[in-house]
Amino acid sequence: MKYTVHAGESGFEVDINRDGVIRLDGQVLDADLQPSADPTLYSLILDHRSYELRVEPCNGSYRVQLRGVTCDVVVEDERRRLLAGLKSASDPGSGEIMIKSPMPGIVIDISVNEGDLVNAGQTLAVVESMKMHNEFHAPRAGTVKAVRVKTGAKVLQDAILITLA
Amino acid sequence: MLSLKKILVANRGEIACRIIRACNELGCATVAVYSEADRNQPHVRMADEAWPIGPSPARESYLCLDKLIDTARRSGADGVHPGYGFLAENADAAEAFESQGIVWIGPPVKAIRLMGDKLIARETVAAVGLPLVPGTGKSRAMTDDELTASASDIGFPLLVKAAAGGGGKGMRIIRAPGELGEGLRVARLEAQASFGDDRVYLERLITNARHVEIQILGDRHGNLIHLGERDCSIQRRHQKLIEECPSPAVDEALRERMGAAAVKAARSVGYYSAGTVEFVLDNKTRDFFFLEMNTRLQVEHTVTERVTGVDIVKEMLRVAAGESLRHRQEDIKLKGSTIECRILAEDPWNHFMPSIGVISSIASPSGPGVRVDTGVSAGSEITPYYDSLIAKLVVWDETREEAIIRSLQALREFQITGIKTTIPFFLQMLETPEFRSGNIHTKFVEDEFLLKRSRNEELEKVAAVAVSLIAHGRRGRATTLNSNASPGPGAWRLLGRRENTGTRL
Repeated sequence: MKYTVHAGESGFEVDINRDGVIRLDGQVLDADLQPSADPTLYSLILDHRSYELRVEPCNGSYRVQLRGVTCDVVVEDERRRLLAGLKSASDPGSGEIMIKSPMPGIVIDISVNEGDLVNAGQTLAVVESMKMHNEFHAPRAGTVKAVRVKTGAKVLQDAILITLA
Repeated sequence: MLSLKKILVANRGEIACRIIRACNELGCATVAVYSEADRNQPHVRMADEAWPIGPSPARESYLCLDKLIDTARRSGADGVHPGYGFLAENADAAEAFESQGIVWIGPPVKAIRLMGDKLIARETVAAVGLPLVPGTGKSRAMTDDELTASASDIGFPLLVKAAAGGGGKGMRIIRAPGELGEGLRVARLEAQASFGDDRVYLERLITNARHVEIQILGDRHGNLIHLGERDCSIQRRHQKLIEECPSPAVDEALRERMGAAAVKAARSVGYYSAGTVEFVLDNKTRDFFFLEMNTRLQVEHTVTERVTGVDIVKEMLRVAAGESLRHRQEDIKLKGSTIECRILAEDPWNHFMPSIGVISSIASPSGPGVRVDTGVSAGSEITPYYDSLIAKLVVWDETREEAIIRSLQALREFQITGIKTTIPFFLQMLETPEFRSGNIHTKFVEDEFLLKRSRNEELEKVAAVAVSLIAHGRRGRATTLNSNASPGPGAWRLLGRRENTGTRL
C-alpha cells in the first residue's frame, strides 16, 4: 500500500507491502513500532535509533510529539476519503454567515434576538474564556436568522453562535 | 504539633494540592472545596474531606464567601488557606473568617487593606523611605515652568501623563529637554479633551526594566525576614511566564539593599506571614523602585523554596498557629540557581489563545533538581472557568547555565496530549542568546521575541514513519472487520493480537 505523508513541512512517499516491508522514498527501513497501555504512547526503533512518541488523532490528521517537538502528520490515503465525505454533507447553495467562536468558552452575553436587523460591526455576542472577553461583531448588515446558544452556555471551539442571513 | 487541626483550602488546582501536602506534613486535616466543574480534579481526591460549593463559574463557587465560611463551620475547620487569586487578597474575606474564629493563613487584615489600595500603598512605603519611580506626583496642579524645572531632576526619557488619565490618553514620551514644551502643550490639550482636566505630571520612563520581587516572611511576634529575590522579567501582557532566582541582574550588595527595603515596606503595615514586594529594576542604572506588595502566597514561591530550602507554605501554617519564625536573616543563603516555567493551557502559536479540552495523557519529567507542581491528571478537563495554569516546572542546578540546560531536558520530557501548552515556547525562549546571557527586560517577549516554526527533518521523518504504520494498521483492521458482516471471534482475536504485539516490520 502506498501513502503520501505530510509531516510538518516535509512530504514523504511511504510504501508498506504485504510482507510488512516499509520503504520511505524508496529506501527500505528497519522499523519497530510498539504501542503501550497508554493509547497515546509509542516506542519506535528506526534503524537502531530509539524514539518515544505521543500520537493522537486530531481532525483527520495525527498530532505527534517527540523530543519536545510537535508536528501534525497527514496520511493522504485517509484524507481523500474524509474530504469526499465532507463535500457531500455541506450545503453549497446558502449565502448565510455563521458566527463561530474560534475558542472554547462561556457565552457571557447574546445582544440580539432571532429576526433582529443588525448593522455591520454591531456586537452580537460575548464569549469569555480563561478570564478574557471576546466580542463577536456582524461582518455585514443582515438579519439574525438563528441564535444557537444561550447566555451562560459552554461552547466548544468552532461552535456556531449565531447565523446571519 | 501544630495548634491548628483542620484547614479549609479555599482554592483549586495546583496550589490547592500544594497546600494540602504542607498540611499533611504538619499533621493537619484538610478540607477541599470544589465547583461542579472540578469534581474530578486531583485536589478533591487528595484532601481528607471534600465539600461541593456550587456551579462552575468562580463567582458562584470559589468567590462565594458565605459558602466558604459555611463550609468551614460545618466541617469544623479552624483555619483557612486562600492560596492565590480568588479571595486571597480580599481583606473583607480575611476579616469575615477571623470574626468566626477561623484563622486566616495569611497576613493581617490591615496589611491586606493598606497594600490593596495602590495609592495608599505608595504613600505608606514612600513615608518609610522606599523609592518610587521618580516623578512630580499627581496630586496638585503644576505650571509648565514648575514642570520644566523639575524635569532635569527626574531625568530623560520621561513621560508626561494626565493626572485624571488612564489608557494612554494624554500621555507623551519626552526623550530630550527640547521636546518638553511641545509635549506639555499637546498632552494638556489631549487631557482636556479626554477628561475635561488639563493637569499633567511627569514620571521617569524606564525603557529597559526588569521585574524583580522580594519574598518576605514574618511571624506574629515582630520577626520579619526576606528570602531573596525572584526575577520575573519574562512576561506577556503582565502575565509572568518564567521566574528565576537568583536574578542575573542582582548581586549580593543589591540583594541586601532591595531585601532591606522590602522588609521596611512590610514592617510599615505590620506584616506577618508570606508576602512579596515587587520592584521595577532599571537594567542600565540598577536603580529600583517600589511597584506594589502582594499580600499572599505567590505562584512562583516554589523558586525561592528551592534555592533557600525554606518550605514557605509550612512556614505560613506555623506562623498562623502563633509559632515564631525558625529562620533568622543570617540563616538564609541562596544555593544554586532555579528557573520556573509556567506550563499553561494556551497555544503559543496562536496569540496564546486558551486551549480547552481533556488532557488525554500527561507524563511529567523527573530526575535530580526537577520539581513539578500540578493540579491535573490524565482525564482532567481544562475548562474555560478558571486560569490556564496547569503545571509549574521548577528546575534547580548549581549554576544558572546548568539550570537552563536541565530545564530544556525536562521540557523535552514533559508530554501533555489533548490540549496545547506553552512548552514549545519555553523550549525556544531558553535557547535565545538574550535569555542565556540574562540580558532581558519586561517587554522582551512582546517586542523582540519571535516564536519560530522550528524544523527538524529527522523528527519529521520519524513522525511520518510512525504515523504511516499506525494508519496502515488501522486500515488493515478496518478491512478485516468489514470482510465479516458480523465480526466473529476470529476478527476480534486478530485485532487483539495486533494491539498486543505492535507492528513488527
